Amino acid sequence: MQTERAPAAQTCGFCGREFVEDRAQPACGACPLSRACGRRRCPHCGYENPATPAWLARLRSLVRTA
Amino acid sequence: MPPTRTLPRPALEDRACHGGRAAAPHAGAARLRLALVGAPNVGKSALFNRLTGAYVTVSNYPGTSVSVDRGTLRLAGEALEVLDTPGLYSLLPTTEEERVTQRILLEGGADVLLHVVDAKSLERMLPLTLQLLELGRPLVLALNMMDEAEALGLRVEHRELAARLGVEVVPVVAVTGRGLRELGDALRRACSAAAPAVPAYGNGVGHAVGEVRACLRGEYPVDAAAVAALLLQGDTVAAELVERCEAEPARARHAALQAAAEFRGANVYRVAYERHREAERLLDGVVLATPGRHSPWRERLGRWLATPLTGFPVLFGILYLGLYQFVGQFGAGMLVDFVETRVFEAYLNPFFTALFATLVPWDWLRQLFVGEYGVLTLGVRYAVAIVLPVVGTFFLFFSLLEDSGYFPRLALLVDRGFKTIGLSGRAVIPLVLGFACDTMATMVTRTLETRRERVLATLLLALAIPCSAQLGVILAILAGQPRAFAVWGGVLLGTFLLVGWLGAKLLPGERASFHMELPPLRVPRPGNVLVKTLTRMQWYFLEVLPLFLLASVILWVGELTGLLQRAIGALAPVVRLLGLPAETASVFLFGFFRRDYGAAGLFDLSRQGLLDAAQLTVAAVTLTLFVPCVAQFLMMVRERGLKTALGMFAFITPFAFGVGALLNLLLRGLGW
Repeated sequence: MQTERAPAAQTCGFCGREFVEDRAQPACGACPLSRACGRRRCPHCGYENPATPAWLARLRSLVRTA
Repeated sequence: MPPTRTLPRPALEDRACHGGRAAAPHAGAARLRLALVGAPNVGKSALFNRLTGAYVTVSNYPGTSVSVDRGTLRLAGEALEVLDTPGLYSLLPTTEEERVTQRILLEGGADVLLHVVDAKSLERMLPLTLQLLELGRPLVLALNMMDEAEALGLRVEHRELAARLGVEVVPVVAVTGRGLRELGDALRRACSAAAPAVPAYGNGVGHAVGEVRACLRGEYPVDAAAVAALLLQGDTVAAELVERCEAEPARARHAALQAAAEFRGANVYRVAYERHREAERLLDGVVLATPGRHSPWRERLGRWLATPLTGFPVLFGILYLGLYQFVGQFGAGMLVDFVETRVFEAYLNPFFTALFATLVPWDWLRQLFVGEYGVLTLGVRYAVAIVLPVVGTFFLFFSLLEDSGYFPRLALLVDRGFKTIGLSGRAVIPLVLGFACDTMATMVTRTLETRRERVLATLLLALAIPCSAQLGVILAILAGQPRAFAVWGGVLLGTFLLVGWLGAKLLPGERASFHMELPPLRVPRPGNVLVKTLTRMQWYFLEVLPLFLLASVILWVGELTGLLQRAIGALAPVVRLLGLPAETASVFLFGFFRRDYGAAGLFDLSRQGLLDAAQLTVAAVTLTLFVPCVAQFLMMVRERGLKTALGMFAFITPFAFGVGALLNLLLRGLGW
């Protein structure tokens, strides 16, 4: 068991289905770039979605709060 | 209003009967536990994140590989533990994920339930609400994706539904946060309120459940009605629970078998059917369709986009406006011109040249930074002044299309055509991604159904799909010359179709099938589009800048040692065959290092006025078809194996130069 940052739920840009970012990674676990590539593979259709960088997510939440 | 029962606050440490603690993921804290329950893809996780904030605890459910996320929700000063349960369609499970959720619920892992449903499909989802009500826990029903339901012309009389169900019903939009305050209020009331009544079913089902229920004398973590209904349907988890909680489990088993026998083997179906009928009854007059909006414009537009007669003209219109005008003319033309001329040439390059002239007395070392192939005057300039404005505009265009839901319709549109070249509509995913980055797209080909499809898609990506920066820069080079642009596009499309068709004929293997549920067409959200564009620009820039700098260093070493001149000299006959000036040899060398680096080199040559229209067309065609960059080639080796990758390399290189040479002869023959 571990406490970690909440995985963001993301809607796939291709199939429109929802997935949680950290659960997308096993789909490309074999890739040597998977840890740092900044993309999240949809586990339903395989489409690569951009993973929002932390600074942008923070900026977005700030804008939302304002 | 149906009658309600008061919920006794559960004794958290003593909930499972006989056999000790139930195997719920909860560790025994004295907080109330709220479980988010719902079918897959109803926005449950989005709502979970909205409710719990930044941090969660992830743990595997004991004995399984299914993970359950937990977070904390604060309601009026009180902290609730929130569980995001794996998606399920029914309490009678068919998958491991569903079984985990069923265990959590049946073994008392939740004190309050939040059932999240897709407001567009209430009829399909309400039977699970009824099953959850059977558990005898306070429940709030969240009607998620209310905006999409409204866009379809649906209106849900949620107050009427709440009165009929005896629970609070709250319309929400998890992705935007709409209705969250009302949901929080409803949850706060549910935590201290009575549990709703267990639904009663007709046509003998309610009676049969009652008969089994009467035989359950033990103390259960949830209302025994839920256990009885599941036992009647032959569920094994319910049977285990009965074994643990009953002093005489055989009596309950016998009652269940006897009740099931009355349905002549259709016990599972009959219970599900009665729940469905009850859901229909509850929804009667609750979901209203706005007259005249049965076929809203989005649906009609969606159909047009996927139908060949209308879809292809729209596709060409999108490509012309989006790629040619926006990326080519605006991004690669105006923006690049501004950054390169007004920023780099006017200020940065002179500044760094003067700075290094005073700092570094040795010319050979100064060349590394501000020389012909200097890391600042070439590497940084290519990355920032040429590639970044191009990929920025391309990613903006790409994100707009992506957020609108156009891509799945494109897949449907080209599916039939793709079948003739051995592919299916599913191949649109890697091919579309190839326009962003061919290396990553090559990896995505592994999601294709058959080996033949994977090999063909890999070959076509390497041959005829330019990556974003290459595409943008080539569009910029050809922007002022519509004839050259038409020839370049025609040759690429022709190559794509011809090689695909030949490949499909030569490669053995079965045809791939393609089925896909179309998501709704949406008006792109500016926030989403902006975030996706900036995200893609960030990873592209971080990836491209070090490689461009490295390329500059390698070229500098090559120039110092004379290796670069030798390599250019070796390529000279090939370049002559294409009718191109000797300087373009370096472009092809750059291109193998990075596709976009090569394109930027070609852009530089065209700006210097070294190429006429025919030469530009030939160079652009050859460079696009020419062998993929090193990274893509390595990915091809990884995905398809060394033999196949080398085979593709051996085919593509002479093919690209052969097409270039033929095109040169043709264009010269036509008097270009």
